[in-house]
Amino acid sequence: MQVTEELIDHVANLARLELTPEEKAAYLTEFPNILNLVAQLNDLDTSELPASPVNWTSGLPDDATSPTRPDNTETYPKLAECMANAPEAEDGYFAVPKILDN
Amino acid sequence: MSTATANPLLSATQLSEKIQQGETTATQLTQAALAAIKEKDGEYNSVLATTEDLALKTADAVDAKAKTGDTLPLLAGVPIAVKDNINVAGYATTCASKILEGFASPYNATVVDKLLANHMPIVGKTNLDEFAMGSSNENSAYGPVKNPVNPEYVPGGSSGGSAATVAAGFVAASLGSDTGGSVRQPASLCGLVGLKPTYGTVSRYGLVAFGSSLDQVSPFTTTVKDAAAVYQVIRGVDANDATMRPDTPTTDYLAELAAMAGKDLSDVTIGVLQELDGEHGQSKGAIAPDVQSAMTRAIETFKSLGATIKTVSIPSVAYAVPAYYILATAEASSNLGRYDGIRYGARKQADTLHPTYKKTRSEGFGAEVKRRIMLGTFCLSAGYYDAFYGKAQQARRLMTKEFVDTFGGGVDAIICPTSPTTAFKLGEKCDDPVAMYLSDIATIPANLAGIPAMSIPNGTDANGLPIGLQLLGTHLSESTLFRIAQAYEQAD
Repeated sequence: MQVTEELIDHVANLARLELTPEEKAAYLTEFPNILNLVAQLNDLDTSELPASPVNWTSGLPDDATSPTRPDNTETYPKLAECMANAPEAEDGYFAVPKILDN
Repeated sequence: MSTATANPLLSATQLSEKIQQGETTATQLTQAALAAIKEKDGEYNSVLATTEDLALKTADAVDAKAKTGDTLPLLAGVPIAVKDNINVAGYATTCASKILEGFASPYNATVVDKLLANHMPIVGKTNLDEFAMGSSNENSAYGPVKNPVNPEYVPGGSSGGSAATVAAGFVAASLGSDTGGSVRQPASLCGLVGLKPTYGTVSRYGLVAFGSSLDQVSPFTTTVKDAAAVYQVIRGVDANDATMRPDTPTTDYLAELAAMAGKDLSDVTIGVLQELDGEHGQSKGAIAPDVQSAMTRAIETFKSLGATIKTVSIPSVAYAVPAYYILATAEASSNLGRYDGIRYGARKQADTLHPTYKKTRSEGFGAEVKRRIMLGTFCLSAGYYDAFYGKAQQARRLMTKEFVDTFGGGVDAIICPTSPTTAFKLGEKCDDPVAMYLSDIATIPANLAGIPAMSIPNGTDANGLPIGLQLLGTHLSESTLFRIAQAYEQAD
């Protein structure tokens, strides 16, 4: 497939990355090689297979269900330690730059 | 087969016995490990930070308990290092990334709680490829790790620091994480035992997520018995990880191994994986000659131990690398969305929110992490999702079925080289991501299928670099793998 600068820009925006001109140039040459590698999958006949990997991945029977625990509400005991990691906090909340331009 | 490393330490299980018998103390061993890291790690860069206070506190508690004559828990007092993508409360978790600068974990990973419950002193956090993405440990924001067997060579990755710290003899055991071979490949390149357990038997809570459906915390040791012992300490269900298997065995592997010592393998069938046989088929020429001849010798050793050898085929292994690099990058692009400079880590402030995200992520992530986020985002984006992600999930399902059917057909374990080559020199593959990705061909299938696999030492090449032999088994077959690996370790 064709890897264009527009495609690289679009994906970078989705990934919330800002690319330097050097990075963009590198992706324009590397991405076709990587996509050629992953395109080998097209040779594999998977017409008989469902896309879900879950049960075969675990080796459990197809009708197995994921284990769950009761959804109990409790106060997280280490709130202060969590907030101590915040780059910026105010009154126990995370502070962020303004969301809208004016 | 003897190990190629020069680790002068006794094995973890031997050290544990000496503590119990009063011949040494946990404090002595812990101080020795911390001193060795301080004095000698400048050469290897295997440890990013020591966790000295925690280690000495844990050791002190063991020694107090040992004095009373009480029976100590398994491996009590034996120093261990953990990869720096595993949370230890109160200490930094860097994932070898600039984006986590300033972050200290509020909580322990479940595996860390389990190590501490068994009184194992945690001496340090080990270097890694940034966010566990890499096969050479050259992608760390804190510099590459060097292979203690020969420092001109890479230790493998991504758990290169955890491998090197054991290979250098600082500790007898360490924990890494294995998403596509990140423990087995460095174990192979450093001459160690590396075990990737069955997916869902070791909690991922507190292991920083890369590819959540593939990640598994995995031990490095110098012996098979030690691998079984560390696995026995860290396995077990955890309400904080919804992907855990309720049927995780509670088997006493050490008792089983003791009972099996000296027994032959006449009731065991071993499959040689045709797709990774360097003498025939599609891998012809892709396996280094010394690695291939070590494989041939291994097959002869297994025959002399009485095992039945047969050739097996898992045709979808040919698609393992493409399927993995879609699924792992897709999961990573989602998992790494959380690093946005809002709740933790280094924020690079811009005027408004979106530019702040972009600036933080662009300056905080290294080149390989960005490359994989880009690839994963592309694979999940509108218009490409079915052709890439959907197709890769189907390939994964097919591969798992082929493995389960093969094991179900009377094969106890499959063998192949862990890595197609021995360690390469630092800088040798840095400019070619595709070549680097292909070096994971033998290890990726076990992660995709969720099955257990281990790498054990299998001699050295002409340059004295270690070669690894990989054993793969069906889900929850760790018992069988330990038994076969121990028989091989004790042969010759």
